[in-house]
Amino acid sequence: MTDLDKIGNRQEVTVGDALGQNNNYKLLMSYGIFKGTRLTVVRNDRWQGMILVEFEGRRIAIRRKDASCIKVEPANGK
Amino acid sequence: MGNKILLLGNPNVGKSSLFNLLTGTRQKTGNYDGVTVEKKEGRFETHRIIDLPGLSSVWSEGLDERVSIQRVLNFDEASDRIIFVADGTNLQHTLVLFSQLADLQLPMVMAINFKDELLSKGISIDIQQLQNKIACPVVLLNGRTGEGLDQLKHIIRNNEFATPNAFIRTKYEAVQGDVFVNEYAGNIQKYYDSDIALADPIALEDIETRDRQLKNFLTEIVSKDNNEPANLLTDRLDKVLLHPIYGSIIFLAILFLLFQALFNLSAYPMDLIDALFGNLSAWANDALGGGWLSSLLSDGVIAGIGGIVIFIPQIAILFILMGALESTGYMARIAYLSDRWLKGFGLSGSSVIPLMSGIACAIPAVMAAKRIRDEKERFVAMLVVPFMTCNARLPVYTILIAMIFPEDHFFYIFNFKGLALLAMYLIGTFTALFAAWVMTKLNKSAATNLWIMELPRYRWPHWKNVFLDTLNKTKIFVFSAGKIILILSIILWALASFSPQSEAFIEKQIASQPELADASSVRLEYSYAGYLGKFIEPAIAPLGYDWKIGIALLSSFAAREVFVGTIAIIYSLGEEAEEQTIIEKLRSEWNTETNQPRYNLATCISLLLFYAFAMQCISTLAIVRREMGGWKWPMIQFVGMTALAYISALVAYQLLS
Repeated sequence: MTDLDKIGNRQEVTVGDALGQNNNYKLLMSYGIFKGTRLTVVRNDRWQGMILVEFEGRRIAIRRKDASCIKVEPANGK
Repeated sequence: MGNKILLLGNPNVGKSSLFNLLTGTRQKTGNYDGVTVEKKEGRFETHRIIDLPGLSSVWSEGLDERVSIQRVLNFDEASDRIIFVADGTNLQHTLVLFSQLADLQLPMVMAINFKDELLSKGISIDIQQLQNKIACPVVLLNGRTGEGLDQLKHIIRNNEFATPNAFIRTKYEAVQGDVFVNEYAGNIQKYYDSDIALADPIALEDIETRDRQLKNFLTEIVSKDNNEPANLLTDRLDKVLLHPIYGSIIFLAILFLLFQALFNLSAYPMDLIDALFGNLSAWANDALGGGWLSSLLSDGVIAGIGGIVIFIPQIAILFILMGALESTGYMARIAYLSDRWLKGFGLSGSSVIPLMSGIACAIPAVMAAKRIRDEKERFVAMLVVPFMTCNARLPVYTILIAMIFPEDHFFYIFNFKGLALLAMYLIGTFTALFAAWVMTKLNKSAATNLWIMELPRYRWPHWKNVFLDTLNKTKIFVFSAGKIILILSIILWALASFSPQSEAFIEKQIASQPELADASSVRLEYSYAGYLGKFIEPAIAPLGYDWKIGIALLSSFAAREVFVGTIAIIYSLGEEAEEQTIIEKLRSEWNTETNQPRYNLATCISLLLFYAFAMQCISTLAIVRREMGGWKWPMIQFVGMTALAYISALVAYQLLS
């Protein structure tokens, strides 16, 4: 498990446990992001306060604050 | 008697494009999620086609999404049918909603869109197998070209909709007393009626279970070429366009070019229309040989309608440019870029689409604000959106800017008028943001401000859709404004042409002012309109306005654009110079007290600020009342905006005069 600050651009991650089942997690689910979903972090944009992820050809921008409800695991143990 | 056919699906899957293809009624179809904020209706032969807002799942929370869910829960089995529009490039995600509707046992057909992109991304879907598995017709569609549309029309005509096989419906079966019931629809209804917390475990489990099930379900149906080309164009463009510095510079440059183009491209057609109406007015006057009918037609109807028709080129160009930006997918990037800045004003990137829509018209902008999930932000956005510079302000600004700014260009192609217009749009935007900041500070309630958004792939604009959309919106603008303007033009002409005084009294007044070259100004002064203008003159004189401007000001409280038509009528009532353009007429207007042009810098700036801030649109007030459920907030909005308009116009005039 790692937090968003440690994830770089173009890194593959897997969505891990939600920290409780809160509002934000449900919103992420409505965009197809579940526990176990593999994402590519296209931009971890600290300046804009955004994280841009890509999976299955879709690009989803999430405010970093809102994405903090999910813990992510770097894929392939990287 | 035909069926009522509901178009349902996730946001941004091409429902509105399909709606256009089926009905021929063109409407807003942008390349960012959530263009359809209210249900839209059209006709295909005998059937009613209802385009509903995009929906992520039946457990969605957005106000617009609830419109769709409530419509599904009120499904009429006798006449309602569903066309489920699916994104072929992301079938697993899009079918979560389909499986939920299937478990509600509703008759459907599935239209899988983006056939062209399936080919380019190396995705193949076994339609026959999918059809067999779900027991419901499936059509592969290209919403851009209409490929597959005939097959869909055949299904609609022959009512070949079918209730699909259930997915996890049995999970919701229960025994109530002696009766065996399914509680799925009831659970969804209860979810909304009792306003259960967002994280309701039933909803979460329902979505997760379906997602897992669909993964296995689609294994044999969808196959993907592993050599799928990476989305290099989107990747490369996003690297630049989402960059905090380059992205912001490019955004500002696009805005700058947009407003330059508005003036540069529209100048010739506008001059042509202005001259055409001037000649038409003179011709009508000559042909009818004077008299009241001739005056009604040339000074009332033609001058009033001409006052709005002249702005068609500018409005159409604005719609084309905004439509092109939408359909490329760039609007969603603007939301991404602006979220950081908007946070400082209590808003988020979600407010960008309502605010940008406000540049066209505040009415769809207020409706677009329904998509904002955070209640506090939604409330603030609805109240501040009317500060954005809508199309109705454009004619007023164009005339006033032309009065005070030179025709000169800089760097050969850029003009000062375009720069001034951009400044007016920025004034509107910053006032909206400042008002949002004030309201957020006053309203201490907690805000969640969740922000998540899909950034669609960049696509080349679908020009046919953009042009048809522009044509439709321009028609709506001209005809809806035209009706008000035509009626008000006739009323104004009557008020300005008839007097409570006797003809002998007016003749005496004219005779007492032999220095006047044009007696019509005396007639106007003693007309009903003149008395009305003079009644409010003491209140508006400190702003630099005379009673003639007062008449235009009063008439434009119904709709801003009426100002131009009113000015055109008031200054057309002269007996000479019929073929003069509106701007020439205004330039020749003289203030005898200051011995300066009436429309000098101070008055024009004062008027520009008044129109930038005043709430002069009955339709917007009505839509805010509908969304807020009462008159309290629209009235506060009206009084607050108008007070701000008055004070800023007063300060500007007093400082500049």
